[in-house]
Amino acid sequence: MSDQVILETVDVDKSFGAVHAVRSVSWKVYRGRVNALVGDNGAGKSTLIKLISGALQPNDGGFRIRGQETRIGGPAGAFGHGIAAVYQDLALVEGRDVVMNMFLGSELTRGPGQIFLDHKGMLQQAHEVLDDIHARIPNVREMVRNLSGGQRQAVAVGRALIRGGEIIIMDEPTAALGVEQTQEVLQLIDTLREQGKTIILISHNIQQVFEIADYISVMFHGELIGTRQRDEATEAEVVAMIMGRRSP
Amino acid sequence: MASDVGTNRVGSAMTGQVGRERRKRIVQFLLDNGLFIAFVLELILFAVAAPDLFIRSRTLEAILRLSGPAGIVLASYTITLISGQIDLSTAQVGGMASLMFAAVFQLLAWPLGVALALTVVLTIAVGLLSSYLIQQGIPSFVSTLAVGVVSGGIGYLIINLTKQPGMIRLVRPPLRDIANFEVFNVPFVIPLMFIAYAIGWVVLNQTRFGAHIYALGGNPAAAALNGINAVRIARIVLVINAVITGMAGILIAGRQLAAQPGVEGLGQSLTAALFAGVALSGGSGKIERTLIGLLFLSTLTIGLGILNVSAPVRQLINGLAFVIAILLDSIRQQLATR
Amino acid sequence: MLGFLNQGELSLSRRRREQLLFLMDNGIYVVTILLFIAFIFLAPYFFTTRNLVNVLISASLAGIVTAGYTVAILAGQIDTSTQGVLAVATVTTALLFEEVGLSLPLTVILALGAGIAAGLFNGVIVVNGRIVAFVATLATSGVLLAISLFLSGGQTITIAREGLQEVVFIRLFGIPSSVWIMFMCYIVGWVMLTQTKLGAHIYATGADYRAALLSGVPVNRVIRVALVISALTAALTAILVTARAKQSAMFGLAIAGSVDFVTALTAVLLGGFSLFGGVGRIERNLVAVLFLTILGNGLQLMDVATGVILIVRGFALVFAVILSVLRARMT
Repeated sequence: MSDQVILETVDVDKSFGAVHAVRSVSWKVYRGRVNALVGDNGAGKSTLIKLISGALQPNDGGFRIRGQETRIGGPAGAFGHGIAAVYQDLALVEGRDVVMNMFLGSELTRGPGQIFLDHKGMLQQAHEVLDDIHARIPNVREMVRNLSGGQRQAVAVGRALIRGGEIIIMDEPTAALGVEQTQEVLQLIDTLREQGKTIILISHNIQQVFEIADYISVMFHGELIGTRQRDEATEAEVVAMIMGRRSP
Repeated sequence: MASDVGTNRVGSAMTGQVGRERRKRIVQFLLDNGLFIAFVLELILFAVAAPDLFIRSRTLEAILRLSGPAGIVLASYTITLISGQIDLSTAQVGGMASLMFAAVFQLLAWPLGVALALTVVLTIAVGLLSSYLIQQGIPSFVSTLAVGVVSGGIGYLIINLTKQPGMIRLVRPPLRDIANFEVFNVPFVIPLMFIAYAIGWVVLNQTRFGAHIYALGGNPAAAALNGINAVRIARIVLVINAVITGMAGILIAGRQLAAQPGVEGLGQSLTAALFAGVALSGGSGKIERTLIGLLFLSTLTIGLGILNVSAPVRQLINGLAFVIAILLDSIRQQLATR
Repeated sequence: MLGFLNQGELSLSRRRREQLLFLMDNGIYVVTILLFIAFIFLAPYFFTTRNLVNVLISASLAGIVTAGYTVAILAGQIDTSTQGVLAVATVTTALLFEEVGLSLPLTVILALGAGIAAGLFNGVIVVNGRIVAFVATLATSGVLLAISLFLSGGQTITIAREGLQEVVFIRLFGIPSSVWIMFMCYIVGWVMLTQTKLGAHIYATGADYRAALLSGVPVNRVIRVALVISALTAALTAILVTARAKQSAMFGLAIAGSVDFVTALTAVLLGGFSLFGGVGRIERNLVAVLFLTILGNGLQLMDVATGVILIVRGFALVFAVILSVLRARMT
């Protein structure tokens, strides 16, 4: 296949005191694809994701984004590279409406010295983004508190897109959802892929990963054991890798 | 037959749910608008109880005069509360500022500007101390409690150093005239209060800073993940609150012609804000409503005074108002999370 | 919920961490002794039998409040109503003994009853109203202060009748009765906290409310009991303070060495308890109380201005809270 690598970690290493969470991981993320990262609890998935989203800094190693060696300085630096994370708890403010949540931390402003909020502009842009991802949110002035799990996910993804996210990291997006809402989120991921976004998906659910992902990478004890294309792998093989059995 | 019973049960369960929804809506409506209803009822009650004494322009003026400095504080207090910080040092900071000002302006007879500047510097220092403690991971209510004790101590220290009998008389013009200054026959603190509210409203609803204040109060973790600098916001909010409280303390001292440690009339901020639906835990509330909460409490004070209710009973009523305010907040929180 | 901005774990080497913890745990003993020695030289009349007995009585009064306060803190409830309870109990004591003319035991029982009632009131607001104790008790304190004002008419009630003050000055083996009462409070407290099911429940509720609730601990009852104990010891203190002064006390202005919740809170935090409940050792509180009392007494004897004493008190609380938070972040 002629898929293009958009982001690459190069021998990335991270320790917390005595705990060696990520061991010299070199991982390729493919453009416009759903790149799943699976592994047991404590395998180092979350740490690796935090390194990519700028929430943590590596002890060693670096990143190559769109072919260029770069550093990811912090969350703001990650936004600059078009990397946006959708955290597992979604980081939404319950008592605020959909629009303000989508623009949280990157509000549009207008007026002299840009001191006033551009409510109209934010409303319009929020509608556009939500329409693009076919989100079903009837009223964008509704408080997030009153939304369903699927709708919340859409708000959080909308926020990532507004930040100019090209590479969208989703951490266990369906972990707390029911069947119907899980389908909604899977459709959302599909829509994002159709629009050419790159998705990094962390999940526990192997069946789901096989349903939606293009590439499946497995971590074990802080190491990247391997990456398989979905069509060439079997569930049994991936499960064996999660248990730490390297396949040739 | 069996299926009939089944549908019946489903039907009644559904009407039950509809009933619960309706009840929830009614409670929500009352919580949102009960303050207005209570305020109107209060006015009617006092008007009926003391028609000739209560229904006069002087009463209205007294209520507004009482609300003036307290309202200025409440505007910034509300913003502080929405950002997730509970400031318990208000009374002491107001008292300390008025004593500082009185010592420099009245006793040393220095110019007004210098006295004001020194007071502002002192209140900024106090605000910075509170925010520093909060930054260390100490909850705001404990931090500000300790800072309140320190501020009260500074107030007493000023009295000790100047060898005054428990308070400093404040009669030097032009302050006396400023506190009683009138524009178009209206005490100027009243328009000043409305200006403070207007600024507060714009900041909260029309600026980025305001959006960040709501986010920080609503979900500090989410705010941090989205690049909002919590420490900076808390610092700005607390310093501004301390400065404004200090200025209000001076205004009150000017009206009473004396500066004392611990200013009365500023302690009702929390009650007024909670009445108006600002959440104790931060993140929600409308600033314009807190003005009604304050007017409600001021009317209560003036009305009970007109009715000649004794001081302990008045204090009891104020205490119970605080209890009711926190109960309302609790009910609101439970409804919101249900 | 209430605005924590900086809760990260401190990264320290293990050795250094242990050294620091040791210092925090035992520093209070050293500091108290140093302070004592300093005041012998600095404060006139400090090292006289009369004053030392005075310090001991003051410390015992603050110690009694702190004993009950510790229980509330352990259950995760920061009780700010101490001042209100003290006011109600002192007025009750003075009124019943002087104006009504009840016998001493009956007065004591009814004044303690007033304390229990205040604690139950706190419990209702905290548990049934589902309000954070810190704020709830701040509100009830206002109500209690108003009630005491109402009962006393805003006047100090002087006690002319014999038989009350003498109780405080009774000495057993040369030690004043209030000190014995304090020791009893601590022994009862220690047994309750370490040897009974209730004690285990109090620790559990404070350490992790949700976990306690899910494991079947009757958390609401535990919180009620803790608040009642806190109010009860405050009432006991109020009776002794009233007896010692032969008049109902004013609990408006808080001066160093006096009893109020700021002293109790400071002592509890200096004693190594967490502000958020669950951990701590009750005996260290005694030393902290002694430390705060000596500090207040010595400064007063040195004729330091009231303002300075208040500022020192404020910073003592600041220091105690910082220590408490540091400890939480280190462990």
